[in-house]
Amino acid sequence: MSSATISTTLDRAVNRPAGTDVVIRAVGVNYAYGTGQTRTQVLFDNHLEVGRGEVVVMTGPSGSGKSTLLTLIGALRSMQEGHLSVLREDLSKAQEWERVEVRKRIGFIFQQHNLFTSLSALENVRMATALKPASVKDMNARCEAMLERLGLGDRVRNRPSELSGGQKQRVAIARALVNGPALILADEPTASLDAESSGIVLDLFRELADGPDKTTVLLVTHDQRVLDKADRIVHMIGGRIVTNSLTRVAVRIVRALAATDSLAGLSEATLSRLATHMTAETRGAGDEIVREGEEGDRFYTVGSGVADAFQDGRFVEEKCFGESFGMISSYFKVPIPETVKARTEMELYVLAKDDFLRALADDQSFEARIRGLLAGAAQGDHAPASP
Amino acid sequence: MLGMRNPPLAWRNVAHGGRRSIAAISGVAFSLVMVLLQLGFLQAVRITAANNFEVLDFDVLLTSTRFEQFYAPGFMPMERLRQALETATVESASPLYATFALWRCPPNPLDDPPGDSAPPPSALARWLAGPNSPRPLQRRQLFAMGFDLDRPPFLPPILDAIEANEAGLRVPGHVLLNALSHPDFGWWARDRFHDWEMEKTAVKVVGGFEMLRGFAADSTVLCAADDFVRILGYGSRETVNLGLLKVKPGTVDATVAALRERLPDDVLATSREETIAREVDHWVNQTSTGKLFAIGVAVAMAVAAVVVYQVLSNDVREHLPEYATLRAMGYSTWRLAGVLVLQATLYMLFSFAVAVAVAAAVYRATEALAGIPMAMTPANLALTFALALAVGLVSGALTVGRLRSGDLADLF
Repeated sequence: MSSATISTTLDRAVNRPAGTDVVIRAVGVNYAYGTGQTRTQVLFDNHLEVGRGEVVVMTGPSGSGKSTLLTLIGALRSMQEGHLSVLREDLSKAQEWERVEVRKRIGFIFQQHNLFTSLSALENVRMATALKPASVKDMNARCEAMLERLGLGDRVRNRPSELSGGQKQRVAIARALVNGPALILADEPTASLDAESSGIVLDLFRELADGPDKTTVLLVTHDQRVLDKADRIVHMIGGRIVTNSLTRVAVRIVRALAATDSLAGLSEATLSRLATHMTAETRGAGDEIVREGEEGDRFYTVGSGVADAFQDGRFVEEKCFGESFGMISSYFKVPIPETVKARTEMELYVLAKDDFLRALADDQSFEARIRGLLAGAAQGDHAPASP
Repeated sequence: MLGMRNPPLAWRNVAHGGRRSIAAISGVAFSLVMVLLQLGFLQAVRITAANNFEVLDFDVLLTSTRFEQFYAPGFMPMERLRQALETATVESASPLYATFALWRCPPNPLDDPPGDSAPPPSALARWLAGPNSPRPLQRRQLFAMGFDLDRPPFLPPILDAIEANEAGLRVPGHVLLNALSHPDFGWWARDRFHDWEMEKTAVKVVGGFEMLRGFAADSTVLCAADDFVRILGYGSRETVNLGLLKVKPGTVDATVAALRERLPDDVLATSREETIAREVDHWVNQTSTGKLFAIGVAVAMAVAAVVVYQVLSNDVREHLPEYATLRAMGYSTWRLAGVLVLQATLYMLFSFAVAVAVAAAVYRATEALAGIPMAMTPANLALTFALALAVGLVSGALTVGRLRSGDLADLF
C-alpha cells in the first residue's frame, strides 16, 4: 500500500484515534511464520491507531491474525516488517530487554488464567506488584482492594484449586490490573465468566478507560456484551484489518447519513460500511467549502454546524445536520451545482472520490441507490442530488 | 509469608510440590547420604591411620628409611636408639617391635564347630549372623606389637591395660588381645577358649585393651619384647621396627634436626605431628583409597544434580504457561532463574537435613557392624553442604534453558 493510501486510511474519521494521545500506532505491519518454502504470512499491511483511554474490541474468525497482532502490540514477539510503537516506545527494532520494559506497563489477560497452584489468590496477584515494588502493606492493600473490586474479597487466601473457573479468571484479571497498567491486552477475558462477573469486569475496564489514568484497553472477544462498552471495533479477516471503526464517530456519521434524504431507506449496515469510508473535517465560520460550477471530487455530509448554499450568487438554503452537498464530477458528469459557505464552526463528514468508488464496490445497496439517482437525473435531465 | 516483598514462590513450590518434592528430597538425600558415607570412610581412614601413632607415647619417631607406613615399618638396629640417647635433648628411647602374625581364631560355636569340609556360609548369611556366624577353627593375620615391659611406650588407656596386666605379661607366652577386634579373633571367647596360638606358638590371652581397628588389620595383640622376638622369629631384640623417643619439652624440632645430623642414613627422625601427617597422607593420597572415595563423592553429587535437574525441569515444564505469564508481565528470565535456583537450594537444604539424620544412623550401624570409626566432622558436613549448594545452583541454572523454551506468543 502506498504512503498516500496509508495516510488516507488513517485519516478516515472512524479510523482516527479518539484523542491526540496515540498509544498504539501500527503502520504497514506484516508478519510471517516460518522461512523459505514453509513461510506463511499471517499479517498483511495492517494500519491501526488507538488513542489513550480507548476501549478497543478486536474481532475476527480464527486464524484472522488478531492474536498475532495482539502479541506484537504486547511486545511478546519481535517485529518483522512495518512500524509499531506502543506506549510511545518504538517496537519495530526493539531488543528483548526493551520489550520487557514495555511489557511491565501492560496488563495481560490471557484465556488461560495461568495461576500458580502453590500460591494463594493474593500471592498470585502479589507476583505482579513485585514488579512495581512498594511497601508490603501498600502492596497487600492494593491487591486486596483489586480482588475485592472483582468480587473476591472473601477468597484472597484461597489457592486456585479452591476457586471456580470464573474466580480463577478474575484473579488473573486482578493480577493484570493491580499495577495500574497504561495498556490492557485481553484475550477473551469474559469467556469463563457469568453475566454478573462479566458485567463487573467490563464496567471496570470502562472505568479505567474513563478514569484519570485513561487506561487503553484492547480486547479480543466474541462476547457481544463487550461491544456496548467499546469505543472502537477492529475486525480482521485473513490477516488484514477490514474494519476499524471508532464507534461513537461511526454512530454520528451513520446518524447524519440516515438523515440524508437521498440515502433514506438504506440499511444501517450499508450506512455503517459507507461511514467507514468517510473522513472528518472541520471548517471555520465563513470558509467557502465548495464553489458552484467547479469540478468536484468529494461529497460532504454535515455533522454539526450550519452552512449557506448559493446558486448564481443567490442564497438558496441552509445546510445543517444530515444534509449533503458537493459532487464527484468525473463520475456524475456534472460540475458542483451550488456554492456552500460555512456559517458557523462545522464538522463535515467527507467521502472522497476513491472512497466513493470503493464504497460502491463494497455495497450493492449503495451502488443501486446511486444508479437510481443517476437514472432519475437522466429522466429529469438535471444534476443528481448528492448521495 | 505475605510480610515478604516478593511472594515466596520457590518455597511454596517445594512445600506444595507433593510427590515431586518428596521425590526430589529423598533422591537428593540418598545421594548426600552416599557422599557423607564416602567422606566418613575417608575420615575413618584418616582416624585409623593416625590412631596407630596416637596411642603411642613419643615426641620423635625413629624409623628405617625403608619405612612405608605403620604396618610396613621396615627394620633398624637397636644401636640407633642408643645413639639417639646421646643427644642431650633426648630423655628416653623405647623400641617397638611390630609385624603381622598368624592368629589361631576360635571356632564358633566353641563346643560344636562346623567341620573344615562343611560348605562355608554365604556372604549374606555371614552378614546377617554377624559375630554369631558359624565358622571352623581358622588362622587369620593380626598385627602384633612387642615392647619393653619396663617402659611401655603407650598412652592411656592402653597403658592402663598394660599396667593392670603387667604381671601376667611377664610370663612367657602371655599376651593382651584387642577387645575391639573382629569377632573372628575370639575376644568373646577369651575365658572359654584355651588353644590360642600365634605363629604356631601357644599363647594365652591374659587380658585386653581397646584400640581402633584399621583397614589393614582386624585385630592387634600386645606382648613383651622377649616374647615377640621369640614367637615372631626376630632372633634378638637388637633388630627393632620403630624407635619412640621422648624429648625435653620444646625441643622437638631441634632434636629432629640434631638426630638427622647425627644418625646414619639408614634411619629417619620425624616429629610426632610429621609422623601422623605422613601416615595419613600415605593412606589417603599415596594409595588409591582417597581417589576411590573422591570418585564416590563425585558420582553421588552427579546423581544429586541429575535428580534435582529432573525434578525442577519437570516442574518448570508443567508450569510453563505460568512462568511464561510472568515473563510476559515483565519478569526477566534471570529473575525467574533466581526462583528456580532458590527452589533447587531449598530442595538441597531439606535433603541435607534428612541426609545428616540418616547418615548419623548409618554411621552408627557401620561402626557396629564393621568396627570402623565413623565420625561426622564439621569439615565433612561443611563440604557436603557446600557441594549440595553448588549442585543446587548448577541444577537451577541449567533449568533456565527449559524456562526459555516457553513461547510467550503462545499465551494468546
